[in-house]
Amino acid sequence: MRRRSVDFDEGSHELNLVPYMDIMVNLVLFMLYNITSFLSFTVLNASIPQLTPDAGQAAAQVQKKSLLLMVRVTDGGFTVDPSVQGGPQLKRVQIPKNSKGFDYKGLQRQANVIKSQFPEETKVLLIAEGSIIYDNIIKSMDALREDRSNNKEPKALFPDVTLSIL
Amino acid sequence: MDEQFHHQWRARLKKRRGKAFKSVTMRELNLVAMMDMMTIILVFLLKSYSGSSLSIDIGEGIRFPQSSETIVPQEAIKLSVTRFDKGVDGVISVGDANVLRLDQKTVGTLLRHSKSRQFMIDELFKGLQQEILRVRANTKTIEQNEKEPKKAGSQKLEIPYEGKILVIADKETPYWLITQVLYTSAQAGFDQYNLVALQEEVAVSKE
Repeated sequence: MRRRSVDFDEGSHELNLVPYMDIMVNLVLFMLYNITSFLSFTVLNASIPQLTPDAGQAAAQVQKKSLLLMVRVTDGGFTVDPSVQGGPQLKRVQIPKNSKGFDYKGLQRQANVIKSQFPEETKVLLIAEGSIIYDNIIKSMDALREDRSNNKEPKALFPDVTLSIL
Repeated sequence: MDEQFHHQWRARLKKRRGKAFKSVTMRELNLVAMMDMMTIILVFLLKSYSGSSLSIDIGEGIRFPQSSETIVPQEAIKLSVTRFDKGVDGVISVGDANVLRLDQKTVGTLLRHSKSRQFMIDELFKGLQQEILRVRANTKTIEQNEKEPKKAGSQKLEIPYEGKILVIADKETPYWLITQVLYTSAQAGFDQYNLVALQEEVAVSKE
């Protein structure tokens, strides 16, 4: 009789944590499955060509030496085609694909060369073939936008990218 | 008879002792530390969940391109193009609404249009216009509520309309479709395109 009463007393002190833990585990698993903030997203600003450029801008461009930098992306590689208004022309440069695919480093080197001659220019027109995939477009934009090859501060090249199709 | 009763009593006692022993071991398991840990994880996850500036539903249909850009994206109207391939149908959606199913026939038609320089996608145009109307209606509701703060039963504005659109596309999407999507967005009244990508360092560390 004595033993039975002791057992009964001890049992009444037990706090049943199982439902609480069930809820916690389910919540944690649910949130881990749904959470997106572990992935850091970024955005690349882009624009498409304007059909009617601002008259003031056009007039200013004619007066001073300016650059229209076009980069064509085709299945064969890149073609960097700088067109200079009011100054000596620059050479068109072909950057063919290498064994890994598109030569983004080569494109960035060429962008650096042009940037050194036109330090104030920020615009580039990226013209790609329809069959080129989106990933290659984003990587091309990355290569043209800024140079991060040095471990120092990233060097801005041509951050204003306008997209067009061949 | 007595002996049989004695055996039964002993067996019962043995069984009882076993139960008692079992309950004692169960009580010795210390769950407090585990519950502490679970609570901390839960709080951390809740904070991360609410603190992220941009919520993107990551399904199997989108494999993000990678970029070295570090701009933190802000909420805007989302336009997504999911993966499509032979045997896999993609979807173009605006916000939460699917506006066009990219099956083989539709993709063929869009490709033909692209080759003939017709970049407008009518279904997407309608979807974008509806989304703009929805967001503008929400903006009006908010403005009215600010004037009459006590009036209840209004919707909360999630995204302001500023002509900005987040383009979330699968990395294998062909450029002709991206061009059509951007062109149609421009016709619908958007003039700022934010192409969403995964930050490169994160993507590399995940691999």
